[in-house]
Amino acid sequence: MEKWEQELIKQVNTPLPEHVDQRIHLTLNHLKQNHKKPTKLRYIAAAAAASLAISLGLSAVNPNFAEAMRSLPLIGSVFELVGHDGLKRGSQLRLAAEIGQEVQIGEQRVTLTESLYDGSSIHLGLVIHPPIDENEPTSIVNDIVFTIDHKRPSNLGYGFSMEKLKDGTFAGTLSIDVEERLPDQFLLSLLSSDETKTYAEIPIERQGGYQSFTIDETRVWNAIEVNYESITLFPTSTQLALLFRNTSSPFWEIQVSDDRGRRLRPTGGRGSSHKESGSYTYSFEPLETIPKQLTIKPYFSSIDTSNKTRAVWKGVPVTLSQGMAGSVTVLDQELVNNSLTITYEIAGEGVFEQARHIWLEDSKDIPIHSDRPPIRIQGTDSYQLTFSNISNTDSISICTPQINIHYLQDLEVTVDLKS
Amino acid sequence: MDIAGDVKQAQKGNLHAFERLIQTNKLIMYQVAKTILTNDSDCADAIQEAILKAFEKIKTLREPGYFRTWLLRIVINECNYIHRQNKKVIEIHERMAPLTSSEENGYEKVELEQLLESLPSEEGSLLKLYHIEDISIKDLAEIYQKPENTIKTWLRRARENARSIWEEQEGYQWKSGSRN
Repeated sequence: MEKWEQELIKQVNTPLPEHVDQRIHLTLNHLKQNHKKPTKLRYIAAAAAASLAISLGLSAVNPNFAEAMRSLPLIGSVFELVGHDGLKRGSQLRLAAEIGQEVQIGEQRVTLTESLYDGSSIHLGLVIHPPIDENEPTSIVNDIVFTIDHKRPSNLGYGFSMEKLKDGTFAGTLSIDVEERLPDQFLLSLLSSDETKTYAEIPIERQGGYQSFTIDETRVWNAIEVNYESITLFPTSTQLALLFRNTSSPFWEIQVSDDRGRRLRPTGGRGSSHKESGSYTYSFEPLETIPKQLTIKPYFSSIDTSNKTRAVWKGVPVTLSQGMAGSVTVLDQELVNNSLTITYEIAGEGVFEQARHIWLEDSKDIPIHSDRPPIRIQGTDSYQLTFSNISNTDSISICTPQINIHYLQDLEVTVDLKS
Repeated sequence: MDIAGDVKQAQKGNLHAFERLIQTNKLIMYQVAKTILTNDSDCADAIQEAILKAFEKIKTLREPGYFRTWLLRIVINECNYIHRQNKKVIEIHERMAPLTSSEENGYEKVELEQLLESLPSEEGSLLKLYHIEDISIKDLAEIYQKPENTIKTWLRRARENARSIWEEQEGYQWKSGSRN
């Protein structure tokens, strides 16, 4: 082999730099929360959080609504059935408005049940009736164009949270975000992709109050500049807005905790970038009361699945190390109708990250992953994760990787909310 | 690892299967990106976009066995896009940056850079890809969507050109007295 070839081999067979590896990891993590990435506006959908309780109906019932709802295999609010914590709260605060409209989107019959707009995202509750493409129940949205007051927003993103009901129907929430500021009242239209057919026209009115706190603090790390603009407390979410420079994307995650150390559960994010700068809004669960302070900590996490810890459930709680991040304690497991549900409690630095990285392995060390996100037991750091197609639990191990959290301390900021 | 099985699972929307496919191919994705882009941050951007696009489009992949080369084609397209976007910036940056001295980087590295710059860009790219350990002529045929014999012909021509440029450089270095 000639000398130039030897040099070329050396040059092209380089190892993967750690920060590129971290970007890959973050991209995959973001993808797990994403259902669709629009051209410019990146939207991270809220993680699905199903509730077993079906409570509270809608406050006022009109005849069309009643007729449409009678055909549904569920009682009460879709937001409360399959929505995230913020939507449940919004519904319980009676901020949701009824829709009760059945529409035909292509081959698919869909009932739009309710809407909620509190100044952050526009949320729609919907039920998709069988027959349905079970592998992609959200594909109906591919044939929908959204307009606001008959105009297409320049940047629009959306995300789904969807649960399958017992009769094969899917109930879900569709959250829509637009970059521009919306009026307090507007008409949301759902059109066919060629815009020749109107599926639905839904009057939307902002409900509930919100409180916005200006931060205007800039931090710098590795020449990357982050300007924290504001934090806004909506009834359904807490939203942190920031600007960044000298990087093409905000490739870090953000942890927000109050002065008592309680961490807010991240529910998504959206933003846009151009060349080496952009803006991003991170969403978290809503705050019931205004804390004295909020601390914002950007971080990376790295997951080492080759260095896992594992345990077999023997009827008593067992704790597994998750590396520098902390640990998971398995509290219970239950096998019902070939579905194995694991209940576990997380302790550590990256609670939400840690909760996601749990899987099973059979006697041959073949991994079995859940096809749904973990469900948090409200008000605790405990979660439940369900695995399908498990016929027996003999030789089934519960596994978790080593998770390392790397805080970007130079980008950290604490905001006084009561000064 | 059951690549075909994971591809089929990923096509049904199984994110864990898709993640395993990406984890298996992440090194080669980076190495391929690095043949086009010099900056690691640009490589990370290209890989990020490629992962998102691959997930969006994986249902269109008919033959699971071609996943790796299909993924690498997406990476190459993203890199070419970023390269085009950055071209003006790179030109300015190159003019402003101090010239790299051969003492700092080693004669071979600098000479190799000169050699690759002297080749037509498509020949330089082909040679770089060919010398990545995990890429075969069959892979190149799938990436370029050409018969293997065509790839072999292209490679032979590129290597001949490279050899003759290298020999010219060696002769020049010798004559100018900068080489031991």
